[in-house]
Amino acid sequence: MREDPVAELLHEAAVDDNVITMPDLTHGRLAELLQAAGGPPQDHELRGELAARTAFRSAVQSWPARRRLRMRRGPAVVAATTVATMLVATTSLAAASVLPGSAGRAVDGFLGSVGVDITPPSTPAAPPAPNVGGPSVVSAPALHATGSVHVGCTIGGTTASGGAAGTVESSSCVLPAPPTTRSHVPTAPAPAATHKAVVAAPKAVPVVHHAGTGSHSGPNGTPSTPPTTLPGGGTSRGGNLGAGGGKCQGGSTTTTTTTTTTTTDPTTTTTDPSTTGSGCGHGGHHHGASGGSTTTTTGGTGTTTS
Amino acid sequence: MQDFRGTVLAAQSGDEEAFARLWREFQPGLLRYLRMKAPTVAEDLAADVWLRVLRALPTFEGDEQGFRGWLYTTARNRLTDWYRNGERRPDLIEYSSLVLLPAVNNVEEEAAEHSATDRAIALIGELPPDQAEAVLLRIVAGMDVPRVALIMDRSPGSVRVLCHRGLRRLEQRLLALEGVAAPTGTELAGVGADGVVAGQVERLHA
Repeated sequence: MREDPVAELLHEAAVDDNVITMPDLTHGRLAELLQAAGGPPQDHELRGELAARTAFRSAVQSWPARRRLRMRRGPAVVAATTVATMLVATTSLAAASVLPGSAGRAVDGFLGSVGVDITPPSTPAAPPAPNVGGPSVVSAPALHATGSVHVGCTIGGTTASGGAAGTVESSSCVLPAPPTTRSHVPTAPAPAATHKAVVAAPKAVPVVHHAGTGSHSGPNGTPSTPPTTLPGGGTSRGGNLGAGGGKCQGGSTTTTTTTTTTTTDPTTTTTDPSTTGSGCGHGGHHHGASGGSTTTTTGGTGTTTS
Repeated sequence: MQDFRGTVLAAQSGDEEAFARLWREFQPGLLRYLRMKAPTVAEDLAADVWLRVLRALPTFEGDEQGFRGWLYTTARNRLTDWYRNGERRPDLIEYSSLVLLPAVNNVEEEAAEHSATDRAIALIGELPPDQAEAVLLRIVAGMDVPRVALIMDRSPGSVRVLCHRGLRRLEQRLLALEGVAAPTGTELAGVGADGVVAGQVERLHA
């Protein structure tokens, strides 16, 4: 009779603090039974040894073949992995411009010879030039990977969009004439702009010229200088824009545009910098299909080269 | 087994005698385990298990317990395949031969015709399948509880309980065979965290 009822209960449950009540395995019939069950091997249990040896011999003959196969594959796998790793790493480093100049050129040349072009789609952005001009505001046009500059100007109802690669379209936009000057940049006294474009707008109607040096290129590079009829009745042929000496910086791209908003009233200059591309024509020549790495804009008095 | 690692390395290098030593060491326990689960095809299944082991023997790395666990895991998988693939088919017996069969399935009479080992395996085989497997792997094959739990896909605690219940049932069965009532008290045997039965198993195998 157990004294502790809790211990008795746990004993009944056969579990007592990680101690399981077990039958006596050292004495009695059960111990003999278990000893017999794990006893020494009997003859009939080992009678298949010859068959096992035969199976072993046949299995051993297949082992070296597999080892040889692994040995043949081993160097090829290592070499292929090494070459692939080096190719990817070198390409990545070259694309990231981490390699020194000579090494980068060498890698560029080598990879170019095998058909891998690691040239970045556009050159790094030029630092913004100081705004020495007047109130002109320039927003960078969308520079597409093909090198064409798409200019969309929706203000004033005239929209121009890009054409073929490597071409720059000029657009003329008409801005409503605000009564006062709105600009985010300090207004500097602009020198007198030299207008070659004939603007015959009435005084009350501001006319905005967005055009460069007079070189309009059509979608296929065909020079075209279509006369543009402005709402104010003026006609622009993409004449030279002085922009009042304003200089436009292309922002994050190398494209530099010159935007000039000029009215017949020399006292009123209107810019609307709040809209990307608005009131921004593109003059000059954009060279190169890879993003216009060289852009020269020649205005009346302002020249921007980036 | 003495110098198990050296024996395995020799077998992996193609030494037939080394493999024969391995086979003689592990074949009896494997055959008893399979005989308990599938008596009629135990030897065929054992041969198939050894073929599978031979195919992967060059890649084996481990100690004796690891090899034992690998061998019994392979055997258990082979048993599962045998059951699953429908290889276990009922024996077709002609009606006229039924008169030659014993009237009742008397385990005691059958066991008396065999050795003590066969009788013991037959009695263990009378246990419920899970208990019989746990007792055989734990006590007869001599594997520790975590390894048996891995083989049986159970928790260690479940294996301990299965062993306990199986041994208790075996004890009652033995006492019933003797015509003696089961004793009310049982001795306590400490089972540690790893489930080793207080050195009694080692004494049994000694």
